[in-house]
Amino acid sequence: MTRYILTQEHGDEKTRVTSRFTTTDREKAERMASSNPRIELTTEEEPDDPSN
Amino acid sequence: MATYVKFQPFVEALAEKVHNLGSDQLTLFLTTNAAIPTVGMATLSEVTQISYTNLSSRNITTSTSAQTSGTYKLVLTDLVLTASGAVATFRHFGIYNDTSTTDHLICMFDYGSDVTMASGDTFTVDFSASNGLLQIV
Repeated sequence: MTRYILTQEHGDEKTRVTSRFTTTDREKAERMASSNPRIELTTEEEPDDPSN
Repeated sequence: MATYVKFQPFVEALAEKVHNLGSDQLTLFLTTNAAIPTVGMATLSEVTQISYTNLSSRNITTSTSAQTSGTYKLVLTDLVLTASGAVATFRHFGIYNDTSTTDHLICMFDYGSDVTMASGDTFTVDFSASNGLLQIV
């Protein structure tokens, strides 16, 4: 399963916070990334659940 | 880079013994873009929050609260919010002091896009270990 990670940095030289939204909804992730140039979109592959 | 917004009354509250940042429980709040808090707000009751149904705990753990060479730094542990079902849409997130009697506000951030979490989605607030959430010089 692919997990979409939308990362954004906030703050200045004294304060730094990174927010990270993760979802498996590709359409939602791409829509959010295209609407905000400060958001970086990356992906991560999650191993399938062996119990399924 | 998105801006760190300090609630202006926070500095007075800090100077007048409202906050003990070393031991008080700091908590995250979430709002929509239609209800952006303003910098002059002082307490959580002035903020229109979203419903937190299906969202995990918003309590933040303090890692360190200490000074080095006269510069104070507040370092917080990263907070991971996990949705167990559909969560109300939000865009702005901020921090308040849940221990203070009237839940005094500290700061807020603009994610820049609406966030609509479904079951299994996560929203992580990754606080810098080197810079801290805030410094007092």
